[in-house]
Amino acid sequence: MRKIHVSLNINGRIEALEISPNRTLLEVIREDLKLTGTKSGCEDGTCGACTVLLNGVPVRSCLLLAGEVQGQEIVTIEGLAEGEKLHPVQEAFVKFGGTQCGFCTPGMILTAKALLDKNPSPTEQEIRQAISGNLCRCTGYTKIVESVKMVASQHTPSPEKDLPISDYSVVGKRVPRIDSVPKVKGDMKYSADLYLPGMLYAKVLRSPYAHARILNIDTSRAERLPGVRAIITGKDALPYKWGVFAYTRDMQLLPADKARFFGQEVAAVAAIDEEIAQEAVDLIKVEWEPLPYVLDPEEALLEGAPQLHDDKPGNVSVRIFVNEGNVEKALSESSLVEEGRFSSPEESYCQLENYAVLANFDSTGLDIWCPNAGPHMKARPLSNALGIPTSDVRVRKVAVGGHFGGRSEISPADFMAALLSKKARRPVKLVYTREENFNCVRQVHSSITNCRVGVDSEGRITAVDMKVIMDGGAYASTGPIASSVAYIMIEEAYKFPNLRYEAIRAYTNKPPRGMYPHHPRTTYAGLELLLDSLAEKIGMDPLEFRIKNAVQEGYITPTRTVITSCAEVETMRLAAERAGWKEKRGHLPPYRGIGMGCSSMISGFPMGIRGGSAAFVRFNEDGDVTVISGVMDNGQGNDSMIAQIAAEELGIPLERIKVITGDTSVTPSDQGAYSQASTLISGGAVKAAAADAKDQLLEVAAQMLEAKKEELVARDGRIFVKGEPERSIDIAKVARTALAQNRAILGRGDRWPDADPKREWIKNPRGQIASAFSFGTAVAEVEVDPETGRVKVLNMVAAHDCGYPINPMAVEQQIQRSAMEGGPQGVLMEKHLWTKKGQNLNANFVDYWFPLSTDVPNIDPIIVTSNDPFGPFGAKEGGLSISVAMVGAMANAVRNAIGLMPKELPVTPEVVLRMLEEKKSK
Amino acid sequence: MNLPKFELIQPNSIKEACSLLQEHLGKAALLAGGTALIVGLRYRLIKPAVVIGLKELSALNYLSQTESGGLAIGSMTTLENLEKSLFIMNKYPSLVQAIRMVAIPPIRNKATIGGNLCLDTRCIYYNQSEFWRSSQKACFKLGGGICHAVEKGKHCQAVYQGDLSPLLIALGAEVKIVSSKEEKTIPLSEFFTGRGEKPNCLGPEEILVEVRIPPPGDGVVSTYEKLRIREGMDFPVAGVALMVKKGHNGTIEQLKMVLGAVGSSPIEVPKAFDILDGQKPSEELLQRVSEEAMNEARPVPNLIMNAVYRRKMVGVLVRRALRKALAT
Repeated sequence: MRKIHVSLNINGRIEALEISPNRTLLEVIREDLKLTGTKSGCEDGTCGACTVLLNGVPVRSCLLLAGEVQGQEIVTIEGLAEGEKLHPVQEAFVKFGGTQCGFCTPGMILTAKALLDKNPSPTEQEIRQAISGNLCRCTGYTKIVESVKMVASQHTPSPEKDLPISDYSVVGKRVPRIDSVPKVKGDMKYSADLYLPGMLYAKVLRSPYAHARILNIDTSRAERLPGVRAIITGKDALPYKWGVFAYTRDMQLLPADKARFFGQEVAAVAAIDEEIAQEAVDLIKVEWEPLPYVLDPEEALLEGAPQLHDDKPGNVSVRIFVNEGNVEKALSESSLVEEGRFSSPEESYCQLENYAVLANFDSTGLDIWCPNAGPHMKARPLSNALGIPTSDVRVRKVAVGGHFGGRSEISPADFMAALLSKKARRPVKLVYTREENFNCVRQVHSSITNCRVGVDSEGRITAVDMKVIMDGGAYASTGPIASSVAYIMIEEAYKFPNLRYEAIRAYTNKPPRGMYPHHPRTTYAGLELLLDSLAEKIGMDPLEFRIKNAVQEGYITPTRTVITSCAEVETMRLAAERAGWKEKRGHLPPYRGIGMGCSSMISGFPMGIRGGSAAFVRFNEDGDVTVISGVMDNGQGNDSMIAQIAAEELGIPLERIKVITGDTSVTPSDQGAYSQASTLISGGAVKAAAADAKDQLLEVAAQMLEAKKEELVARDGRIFVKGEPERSIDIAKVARTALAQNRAILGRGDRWPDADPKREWIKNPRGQIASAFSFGTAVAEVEVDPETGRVKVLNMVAAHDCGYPINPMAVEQQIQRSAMEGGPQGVLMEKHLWTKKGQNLNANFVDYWFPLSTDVPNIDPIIVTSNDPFGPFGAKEGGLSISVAMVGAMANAVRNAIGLMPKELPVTPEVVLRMLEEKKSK
Repeated sequence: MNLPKFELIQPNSIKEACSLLQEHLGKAALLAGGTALIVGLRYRLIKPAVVIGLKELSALNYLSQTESGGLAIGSMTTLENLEKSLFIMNKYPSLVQAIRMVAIPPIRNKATIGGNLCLDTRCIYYNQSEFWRSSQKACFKLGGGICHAVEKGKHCQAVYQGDLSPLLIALGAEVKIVSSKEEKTIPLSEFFTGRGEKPNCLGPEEILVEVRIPPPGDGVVSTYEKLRIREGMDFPVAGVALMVKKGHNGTIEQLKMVLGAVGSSPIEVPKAFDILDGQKPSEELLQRVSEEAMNEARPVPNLIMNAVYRRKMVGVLVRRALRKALAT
């Protein structure tokens, strides 16, 4: 292929390049010019992450050949700010929370800029239309739209909503996150943005069968291809099998025996460029013995079904059984019992960032950069799989473009990149395609739930009986946790003395399924639908019914967990009030509906020696502070959260705090950002470390101020003698004095959950599960088109008890993203379809119905406080309860609109129409 | 995933483009806006040796009024330029309405009208990666002898999901096609073949250079109704375009109805006019027309959206389109 000379005008600079004619503008911008602010998220024009401005107009750089845009003016995100001075759109995104994980941000900002250039005061609808081609998974679009509006109108958003007045100077404040500026400028580096000298590129060979034995792999032709540096197959892997628990170890990260799902990795190549790596993959010959396979979880559990794992007879991956009280007796004595069967197919996480790994294995060990929710949780299995000490695995900090539970575990990609690097002795980068990020990372369980609920004549829930079948795919993954969360959220949200819950997670020949905030969605939707139906039948308003059955502080759940701080009833009342519940429920025109759902969320769960977090706080010679914590930030704002906590505790301004997080070579262990414990535990550890450092500092200050240590307070960067504002000293000066006295100010702290260490998911599902619980109530309002069955979401309100908001803006962001996840994503739109051979039919954003900005209304967040005694400054989990609560709210809104209970999720137009037709024919 | 290897040639004239097509006969692909072609290349649905980029051809980027008062549109005119044309907004408001339902704004900034009409048919068993397809037997569209969407299907039934051609056919549009050897103008309705394998009659040596829309007659109203899941991005899963003329006494004097996205080509429903000709439309007549339209529709299970549902929706869209047009 002849190379061509192109001359591109990018950000006002002329770049002369010699390129292959098949190079897209995106590839040239990212790879040749290293302008990595422009992201790649789908490569088929659907996600918008690669947006650049071409002659002032937003376009997809993945759909343009570099050779066809010569001489035209191209602006990337890097060209927007003038040096340190941000463009007004960038400034607004920082100030008003338009950026979370940051991956969609560059494209979003450029699209917004182009809109505002053309139309300086757009309406909300015009903004939503303009950005409808830019997908975002972290915001529910609300704060993005608000940020754009703010640029246009220059006014400030709605005033702080009902935050209790406090003495705090940093926490409880709506401050921009510490990493927002690099995100809006396109400076933030994600794994695929990293380059090391001599780096190779990897590609993966995947199974074309849902189930097949690997008889032989012939790599000889691939090895002869010039440019190939290393090839690995299952033979290069140790027999080690990965499992979250000792008893769930079932996944060899590169299988040697057989492939258990379509798309499973069986070999990988590292070469000097991606094209050669792919060519080599195509030259590898695998001799397969196709095996019988099973794709349906109920069929998988039948006798005689094809077996996935020899040591797991009957394809039972996990069975959870909880039986507290006497459910049969309670139901038979109930005034009313409702039951239903609810089913749903799989969902996907759709992190905007496709999975990407950079690994560098040399004589000192392994350095690896990859999306993760807790670096320590990756280091351990990597060391086991590679046969090296854990301390030789250095999982490094990198920005992560979304998580949602899907980045919790070790990925075969981590292992393959590491092993290829070990073999080639060169750094290796492996970047997944969108199709791979759908199929080869983790998916969300599909499920079937049979549920029975009883109430007494007073409207009290008497018993919940639930049987769930979950399709776990080919491996156990986080199965024991994933199969348990439903009953835990339910028993901590509503009071009832009798609980029977059985979940069977079946192995099938489909991609393995991991954790997701509201899975299995059929449990939450099913329960909440039945509750509404029961409330109506006994003549109670669903709001009053829920208030009556809500839990309170001190309540003990059937599985013996004591509820601590709790403002659940307040979330119910506030959400209902804001949504106009009383005026609307029962008074809406035909085909309009309003529904409510509630949930709890645990802040953490027992994780043994990995359940705690530790932190260091270091004063530097200029009085600035470095906080070192194992916490990981995937876009939810954990880095900022610990910085605010440290600043408050130390009494210094936020901008003087730097954080080092999520790096196993530096930071202490942390439980990871997937058990909703980051604020409670990691934040608590940072607060303790800061208190320790402050104590050391105050000792020095006491000498300098000639006062007692106990009389001193730190605030706004100074240390004061209480009650004597004129006696004070600059903290920087104290830190320097300490050094002059040969004392380094180094604080340390750790925090462990106050939970029952004996509680175990399968063997012992009893005892205190967490130290704190958050609560949420969601209300959704919808309109159904009775002819097409389409459901339009008119309003979403969500109230969440987060204990105390360290950063109200961040809590609102979490509430809003959770609302979109539970409602439009979880109940209305998202599902996967499969071929008879087990191939995913819609592993792309054209056919997987990821909601757009035009599909979601403004989401109204309400922060409720309950000042948790265990949490730092009273804080606990921030927003996730809404993902679950909104599943119930949206399902109930549809039920209220059409007078029928949707039993099949998602409630797509065809499902609604079928229900309406069945009703008519009856 | 990189694009496959190809040469990129960017001719400066239509003549040069035609002779390049002749020179690389059957091995070249025309690159207009690229919003569909690049995706096809990425998925290895096409593997041309040569890509002929048409963006330098300003001679194909125009909007002009024809002698008869109609409209001539150069095939390289972007949808965005059509969308903001006041002339079109005044004379063919339904065209602007339809364009605004195509994909998403940044795609419309690059996508061209010629490219939109030349869209290939789609199928969930075909629009997949090379790896995905390689583990299925080659289907009719890939040159094989099987259809994965329709059991025992005898030919390809991939669906044509262009938004604009049903309306343009209803408006009586023609397309001008040139090659090194000839220049011809044919009705847009004849441009489509009805074959899933190749939905249009454009030869490997030909370029679609112009779309011509006749002047809208007095009292003529047109409209386009599209069904999609999301408020943006999605291809239609069913669509109905129509052009109708109502007489002074409220009877229907003229009607052309075209269905989109329920077959391998836009589908005309001549019986709609047979039923309504000279009639004052009633709900009962609308119902009859919608039933005829549903009979003409040929949806098969080759999209994520259920085929039975799509057929039903044709009826709904027909009634809505008629009501809307007749109310104007």
